[in-house]
Amino acid sequence: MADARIPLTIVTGFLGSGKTTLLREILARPEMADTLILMNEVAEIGIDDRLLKRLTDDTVLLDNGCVCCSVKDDLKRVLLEIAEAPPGGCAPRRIVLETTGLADPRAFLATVVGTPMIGSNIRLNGVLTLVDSVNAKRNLADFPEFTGQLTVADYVLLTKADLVSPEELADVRALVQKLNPAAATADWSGLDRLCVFLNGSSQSGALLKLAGTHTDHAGHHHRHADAHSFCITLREACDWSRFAIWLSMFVHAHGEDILRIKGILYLENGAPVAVNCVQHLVYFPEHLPSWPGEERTSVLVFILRNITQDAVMRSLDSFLARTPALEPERA
Amino acid sequence: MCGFCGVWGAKNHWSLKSSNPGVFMALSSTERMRERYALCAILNETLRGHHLKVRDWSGEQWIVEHVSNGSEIVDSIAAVWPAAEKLSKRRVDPLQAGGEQRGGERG
Repeated sequence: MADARIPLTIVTGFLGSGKTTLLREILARPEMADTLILMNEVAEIGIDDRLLKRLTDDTVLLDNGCVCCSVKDDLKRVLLEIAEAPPGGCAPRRIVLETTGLADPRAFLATVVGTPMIGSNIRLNGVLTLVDSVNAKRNLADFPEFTGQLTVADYVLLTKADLVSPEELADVRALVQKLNPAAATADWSGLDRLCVFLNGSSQSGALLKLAGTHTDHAGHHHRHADAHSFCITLREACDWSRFAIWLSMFVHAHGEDILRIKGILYLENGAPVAVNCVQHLVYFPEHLPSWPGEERTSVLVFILRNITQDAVMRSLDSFLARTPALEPERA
Repeated sequence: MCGFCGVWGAKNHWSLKSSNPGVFMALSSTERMRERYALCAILNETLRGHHLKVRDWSGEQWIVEHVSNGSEIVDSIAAVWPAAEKLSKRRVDPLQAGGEQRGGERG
């Protein structure tokens, strides 16, 4: 059954990556009518004021001081207003939240994922990250904010592709896919597909493609700066409760080193289920419509710091097969 | 809130099948309790080396009990781990799990 809730997409990207240009372009399209834009900074975007809400930067850090556990009160208030609006009103068809160029999208994700009442009428569609093809390598090397924006992406749009050579563009694309293999990637010529994503219907496509292409057991392993990514494939069906306990404990113990976990699980009931995690935040799992082919496997992409692929594989294997007692270690 | 025991209504948490009707079949009250008992068994197996026991309370919350350091009531599985660390004074880390690794081909 189709999800009737309003899809909310977070649009992020480093300074000068073209976020406002993108919004101006796509909002001119008839299929993108009735889009509500939320932004921290009001840009010269030229859209109807009724479809633009300005947010104040009132991030509230919770006790543990972790950015991914912070709450943006103003965003929460605005989303609750929309979620609690009576049916039949002038609800938007989709919501696009544009962050500032230096923003950490995890605080926005935390607000949406951590406010269950929002979920009644609004669902988190994903994160779109714009990557400036001209400055991508330098930004990755110099600005951890950009690395954070890239690792949480579900969809990456390469901008300014016409200002670099085809070889340079291919290098940037490869760099993005190495750091975040779970994200779909497109350039400006793929705006039609991007609009489909903003309408909330293409998340499963990228994940199912991942399940279809990563069939080796240990998966690929890529390293960038202090972050590294790898895929783990599990051929046997997973017990959800065991996996959930493992993930919950892993996130508790190592959340600050988990830049991203994203993947598709093959559960014992046969269903493909999407799982998504950013640091301490775990999204509610999402049921995907169908498998792309005959093969049934779980594929999980990990983007981590300071944790080896081997340690994760041993731990996950061990927990899914049976539950080992933890070896006590002094806190 | 329950007028007898003061327990707030069931907490939605991503880890529970019953909180994800779009992913799992809707669970009857019996199946929900079966799910919680299964979770309890896995939690107890996991935390036995910490001298902890986890029990379901009213189908809504969890009681984490240490053999000598008391107990805590928590709302979700995510909250079990900080309580376990506080009561046992030991870290909880799945990468420290003991036991033999599974033999043969993984997956």
